[in-house]
Amino acid sequence: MPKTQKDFNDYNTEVKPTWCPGCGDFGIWTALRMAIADLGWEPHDFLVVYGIGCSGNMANFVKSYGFHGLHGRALPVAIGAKLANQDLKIIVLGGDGDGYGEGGNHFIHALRGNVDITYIVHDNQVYGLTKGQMSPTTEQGQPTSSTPEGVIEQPINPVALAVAAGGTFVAQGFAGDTLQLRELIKQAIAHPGFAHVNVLQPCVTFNHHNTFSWFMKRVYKLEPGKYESGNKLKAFEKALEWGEKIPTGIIYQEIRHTYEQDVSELKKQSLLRQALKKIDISKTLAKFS
Amino acid sequence: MNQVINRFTWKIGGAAGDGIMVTGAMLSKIFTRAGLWVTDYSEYPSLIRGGHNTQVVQVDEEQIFTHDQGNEILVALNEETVRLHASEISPGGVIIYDDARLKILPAMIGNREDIDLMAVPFQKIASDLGGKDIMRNTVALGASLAFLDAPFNLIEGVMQDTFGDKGEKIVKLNINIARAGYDFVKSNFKKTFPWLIKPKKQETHMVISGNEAMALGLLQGGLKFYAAYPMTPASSILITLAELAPVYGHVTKHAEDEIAAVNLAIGAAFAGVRSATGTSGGGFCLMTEGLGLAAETETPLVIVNAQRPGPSTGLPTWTEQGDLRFVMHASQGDFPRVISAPADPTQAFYESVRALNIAEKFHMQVIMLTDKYLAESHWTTPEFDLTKAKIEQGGFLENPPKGQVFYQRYADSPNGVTPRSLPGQPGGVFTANSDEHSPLGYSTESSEDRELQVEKRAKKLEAVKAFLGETVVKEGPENSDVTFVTWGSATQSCREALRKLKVMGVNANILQILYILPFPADAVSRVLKNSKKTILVENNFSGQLGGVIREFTGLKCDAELLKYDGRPFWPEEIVDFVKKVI
Ligand SMILES: Cc1ncc(C[n+]2csc(CCOP(=O)(O)OP(=O)(O)O)c2C)c(N)n1
Ligand code: SF4
Ligand SMILES: [Mg+2]
Repeated sequence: MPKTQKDFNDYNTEVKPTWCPGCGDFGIWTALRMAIADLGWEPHDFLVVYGIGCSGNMANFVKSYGFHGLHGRALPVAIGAKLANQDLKIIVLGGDGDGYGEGGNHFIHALRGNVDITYIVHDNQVYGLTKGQMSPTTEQGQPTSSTPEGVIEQPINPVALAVAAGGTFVAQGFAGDTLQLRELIKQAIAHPGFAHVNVLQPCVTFNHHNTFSWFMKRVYKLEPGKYESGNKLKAFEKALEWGEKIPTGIIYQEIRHTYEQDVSELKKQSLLRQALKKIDISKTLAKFS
Repeated sequence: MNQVINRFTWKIGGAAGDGIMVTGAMLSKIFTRAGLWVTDYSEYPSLIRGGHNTQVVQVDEEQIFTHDQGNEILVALNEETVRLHASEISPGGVIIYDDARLKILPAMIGNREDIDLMAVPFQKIASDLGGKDIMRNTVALGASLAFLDAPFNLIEGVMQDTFGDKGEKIVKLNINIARAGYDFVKSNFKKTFPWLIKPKKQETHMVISGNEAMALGLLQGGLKFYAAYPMTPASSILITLAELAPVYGHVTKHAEDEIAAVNLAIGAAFAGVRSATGTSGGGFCLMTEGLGLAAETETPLVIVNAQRPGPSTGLPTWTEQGDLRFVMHASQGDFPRVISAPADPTQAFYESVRALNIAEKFHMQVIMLTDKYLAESHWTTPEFDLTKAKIEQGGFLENPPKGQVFYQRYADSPNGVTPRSLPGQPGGVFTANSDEHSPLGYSTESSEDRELQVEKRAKKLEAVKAFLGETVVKEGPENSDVTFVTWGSATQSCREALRKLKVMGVNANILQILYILPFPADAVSRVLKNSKKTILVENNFSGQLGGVIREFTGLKCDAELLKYDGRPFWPEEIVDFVKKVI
């Protein structure tokens, strides 16, 4: 039970958000704070690790322990922190360029590893902070400042990729639906393992194609009961839906051992709780004589 | 011929996959247990099968630092070994080989008549006793000991330790096979071999490599988390630590790449445990942005860079000291770091403990710079004194005021070190930020905040300097004719040269710069100004340490001996150079 009733504004800092008015990041920020308020966490109870981008700038706006790392490298910092202190609640926030481009390798391996952290990606199909270049999820053919004649590559489908790479919780939300997103974030946090939430986030300044109204016309909710999220093949089908209809909700979920559950050294207690007082390696040294 | 007691070099050569390294390691242990001093060194190409591999084991009655190029016993498992190394054999020495596999023609040994050829049917002996092909090495081991007239019982304990976990049968089999090789030489070699082993009583010593010593030092220093991506010659740190994880309870993580490795280590350190990563130059390249992240967020971090010759993939399995300038300046921006460069397993052990202490107490990044020669060679080494390997903790926020939520973790402090809170700790909330930040950690672009943080980070190096005390190591008599100025594993070659020069009546001493940063400018200046002749000895092309010395002291060494062929300095090379310059 929550210790005290929390309001999402309890997690504000002295810094006012610097996003463009109307940016989808506001919705994600609100949904996150609401989810945490619902859970009743104290600011010192949890760590948020951020990548670099407009998304990562949230590091200044959330009252909690924060680690604003390098572009693309938020995941390994979060995983290292979790392996050091598995009792800590950890959420990771990043962008599509950050997490699917620069840090794509970490994303794939985090899915395999299934460390118990929550990963929320602000997928605005563009590089916001660096002013509108192509991102790995920009639609083919769309002109951007770095691809004025249109993007040649196919976009990455982050949801399908997450299912394929062994994700145990793969969800998609929409920054324009904070209430649904708030619930998705709570479900992701509750999931024992690596929980990936791809959030469709309009960038009002640099992406004039995937706008709020563009998304509004397309997104629909997967209804629990009607859609079973435990079937991988069905999940692929859903994940591949993009265009006229875009699914939101939990696309795929399975329960698998988390990475830290299978590290025998972590069975008893976290590394942080191990005392440094009594270390004595003389038994091992003797083997060298 | 006079008999030489307890001083000789043994060499084995064969293809990769012949198992020669295990044989060399066993011999090193055998001789160390016999109360002698040993160093072993291996050369191998970046291959799994074939190629040409050698291992040298040099033995001495006194402490030995680097092997010579010559040898007295050459075990040849293939023809290439004979062709390449017959010329290195001392007059009176022997080639031991299996004539069922290898015919040695006079031309192959340069028509030498001053060495013996001893055919021992390695394979037949091994298979007659029910052994596998690879046990040819065991026959060779027994045969070698017979030449040296070493008591056979020296072998038994080492066999037990090497093969014990494979079961009593395998141990017995290996002992019997070694015995057969030993007896074969005893009954077929009728001359007296000029080199002999006479075991001595000596306190217990270890045989250990730089990487092993470093892994153990990290553990004794409280390391709890090690993330790495395999890369020669750093891999055996990961392997050693992974093997010991169930014993000591730390966690190792084989990361998806070096970028992940360094960021994993940073994450673990940020959460509060002592953590490290290790790699070679190529992997260090990928870690450089992470190094800067640790500096900007003031997260404690130890990075081992075991150097190999570059640029690029370079010579993957050879040695060089070419990364000094690189690690001094790696990563964008202008910020301090600590660089320690141990010369031998003993320093590698104690400095690993110290690196973790410095990182934690001062929220610093410590780079430990070694190389393939130190990382993978073994030396007979006095046992480490664990009472001198003390964990010194510090730099943590204790008892924040009740009711406090936020904590100014990046507020200024006299020595730049502001206690850090750990995520989960009440009263310590802050953001570690790769952007320049305010005292609370929020992004800022104000000139005041910027200056404060730059200066705060810089100040810590002075604090580290005070904590470290003397960071040069001087060896040999004062007022010598020659002073070697060196760092890292090249120190070992200088130490060996010192022994040789002493015999020749030349007084020499060594200035080893153990910490490159913070640079010990005063100590180095004093020595350079007061020495008769200084010789810079470095395993790289451009004399990087020499440049650093000039930068910090304005002084230049009188002469430079540089080497960049992938091999460590042979002591003879240093001695010859001294002869030329004095
Ligand atoms: C190593 C590195 N390369 C490039 C950059 C410049 N950079 C900062 S943010 C960014 C892209 C941001 O795009 P995205 O991750 O999609 O985040 P958004 O701003 O859209 O939220 C880039 C290229 C950087 N900070 N670091
Ligand atoms: S650039 Fe785009 S993503 Fe960035 S704050 Fe503005 S609207 Fe949001
Ligand atoms: Mg983006």
